[in-house]
Amino acid sequence: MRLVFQLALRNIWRQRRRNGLVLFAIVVSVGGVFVMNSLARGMEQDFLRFSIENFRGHIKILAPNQLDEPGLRYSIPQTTNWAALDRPDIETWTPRLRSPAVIMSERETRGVEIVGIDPTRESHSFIHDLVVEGEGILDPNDQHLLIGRDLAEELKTGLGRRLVVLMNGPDDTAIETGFRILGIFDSETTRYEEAYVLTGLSSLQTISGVDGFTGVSVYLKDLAYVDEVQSSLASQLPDLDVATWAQLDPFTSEMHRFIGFTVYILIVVFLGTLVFGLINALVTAVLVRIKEFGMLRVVGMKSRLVVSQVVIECVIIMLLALMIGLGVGLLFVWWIGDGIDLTAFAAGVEAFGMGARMVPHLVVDDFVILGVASVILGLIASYFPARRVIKASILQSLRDG
Amino acid sequence: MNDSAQSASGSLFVPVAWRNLWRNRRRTLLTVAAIAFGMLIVQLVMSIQSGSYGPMIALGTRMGSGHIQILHKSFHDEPRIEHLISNVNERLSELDESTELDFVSARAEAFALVSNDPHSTAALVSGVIPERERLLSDVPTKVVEGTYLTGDNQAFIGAVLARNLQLDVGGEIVILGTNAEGGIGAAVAEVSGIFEATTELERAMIQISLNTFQEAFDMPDQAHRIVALVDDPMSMDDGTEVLRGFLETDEIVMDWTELMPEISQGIEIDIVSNAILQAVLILIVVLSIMNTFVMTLFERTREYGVLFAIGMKRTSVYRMTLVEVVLLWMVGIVCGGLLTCLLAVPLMFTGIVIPASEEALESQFTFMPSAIYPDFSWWVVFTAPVVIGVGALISVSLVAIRLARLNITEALRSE
Repeated sequence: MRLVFQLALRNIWRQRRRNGLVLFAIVVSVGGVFVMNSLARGMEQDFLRFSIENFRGHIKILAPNQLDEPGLRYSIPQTTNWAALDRPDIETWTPRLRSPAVIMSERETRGVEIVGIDPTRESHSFIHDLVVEGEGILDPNDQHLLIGRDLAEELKTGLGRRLVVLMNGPDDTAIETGFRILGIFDSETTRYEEAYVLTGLSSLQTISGVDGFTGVSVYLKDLAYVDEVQSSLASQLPDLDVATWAQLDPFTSEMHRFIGFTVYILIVVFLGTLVFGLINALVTAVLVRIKEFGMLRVVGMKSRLVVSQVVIECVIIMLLALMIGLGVGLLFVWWIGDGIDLTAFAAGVEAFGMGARMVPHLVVDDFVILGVASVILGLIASYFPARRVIKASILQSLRDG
Repeated sequence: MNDSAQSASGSLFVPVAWRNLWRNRRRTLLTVAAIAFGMLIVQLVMSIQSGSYGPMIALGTRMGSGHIQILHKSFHDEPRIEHLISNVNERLSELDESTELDFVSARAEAFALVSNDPHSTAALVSGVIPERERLLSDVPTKVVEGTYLTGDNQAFIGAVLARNLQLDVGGEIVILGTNAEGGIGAAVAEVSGIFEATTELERAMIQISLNTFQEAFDMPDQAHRIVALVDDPMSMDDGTEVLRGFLETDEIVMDWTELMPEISQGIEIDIVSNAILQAVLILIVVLSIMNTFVMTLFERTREYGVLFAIGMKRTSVYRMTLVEVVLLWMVGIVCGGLLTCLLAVPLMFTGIVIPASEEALESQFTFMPSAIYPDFSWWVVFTAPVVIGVGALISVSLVAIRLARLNITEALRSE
């Protein structure tokens, strides 16, 4: 057996050019499939992120009727006991107070949503990624306003200027408040810039006279447990509405399912591509050596040994190629880093945020499947052709090739 | 060699090359199989991705905008009631004759206060022509209670709106708004049906008949949009041209890519990201096929040595190899085409069924289609064979460069 192993190693080295070609082909297949797979997974991930970072969270706890009539009329009392949220599978949660509002500058009027936030807890929403000119909201007691760049342009206003915000109070009385703009934010998508104006949670509570929140967003460690956590929270907080992101946003959830399914098809096809690439390279490599195998048998080598020698050679090349392929793939993914900017390729597309970057996302399971599948395929793709060659008569083998 | 001799040897290339191919059947079949499967994989992925845009466009256009619209030049940016278009009935009946357009209809829109005493809220009131709207839009199919509009003085309202106003089918809804002259527009309608759609639509949309709308807001034969559907939302030029012919002063034609830029840009971005994936896929497949070519050609080093030794010119050997490769490529793409016809094309009719989600099963409707139908447009069909052909030529040329430098004795010694 040791002899066979030695022979295999020497054979690989003897046919450097051929084996180099095989190695190259497999490296390209494995590396390429790895990159494609992480890009496809990234597309799936990105779509979901967009739905969740938009103040929704994986699970949302809302005051009853809040969904039908968003605003300050229905709120969750400040004194609610949040012990139910103290679970290991919950990464973080954050309360907010939100209300539709009319915002007026000296010149223009727009409809927006005013959101009171506790900035120290906004690590998982888009607020975390905002680029702020001037002063951000740093404390729940901050009383100034942070508005989007687009809105500021529409309102023809700027830093340091004053705005008037008009909203419906909890008892349907109109609340009119003046704010000073101390910060203007740029976000990944203009939609946030137009839709939301931000201020401190406590200060908005004081202004509106609401001693509580309109909703609490819950962010999980692993999305897979969303249904389980939701039903558990729903039973522990019977007076509140507890909904998953998918229930709140069936449209996005359906889109996500649709995209998830196309990604799934893609991954199946990628595995098919891998099968194709490996079998193609290995089968070709075995079948061009028919004459050599005939010679080995003429000089008395046992068929079984010939086959095992071929398989060992292929597996060595395979493992080497797998390592290089995955390494090259990883390097490539690392090089892409925070994504390929697609707006550079699509003329006239402005950055909408969703899907504007193609960010690779590594799924460990896919990684393992890729590796295991490659090795199994390597065995199959070398064993069967080799056995076939051995079954032919020696004379036939010597004549072919 | 004189001209006639050269052409004689030239004409020999094809039969000799063809025989060369079949002399080593296994090698040839291996390469043919590589080309055929490679083609199948590329065409399958491209057709599936190309087929997934249709549902996305249909979703956007059938829940709202239609494919092409005529509207007042200011209405899109400033949807005020006074930005009207006129002569609606006459234009609709003339547009019905057009073969470029599948369906046309007209809509009017206004923000108004809708109420069922003592509850009231603001909503987008949309005046539609019910029998035309059914053909044009999916909203009428989203009914969960009662029926869609069947005539005038009826209202079709979103489920959340119905809850907020505590209205049921048969209840009366009062609509109060401002007409184009700044006077009061008012109507009373009976709720004929309640629909479920996206939360925004459910919360704030109400449809009434265009007649009722025109009476309430005092705008006879006027509307805000003429909406048209065409056969293929990816090629709307003919339809747009037809609508242009019906423009009156201060009116413009807009298509869904302008009306809903987020959907069209989303698709454009999707096309780019898919193009990147496809490029990687094609690269893998073509390199793999090139690998087969290069490997099998190098196995024939000795054969080439013999040919050189008996005095065949190197350029002739190269030309013969080239003919072989072209023949191989042709056989390969024919087989690949057959494979695609056998395995991928049937999916155009059966579709690839998407398993339904729990949410979708719970709710009354789904946004997404239940299956993806691969789409074989010309670029889906031709990309793979062309790219594989180019790859094959490159690989042959690489080998040819090696062969040109080959030392005859060395070539003859090689295994």
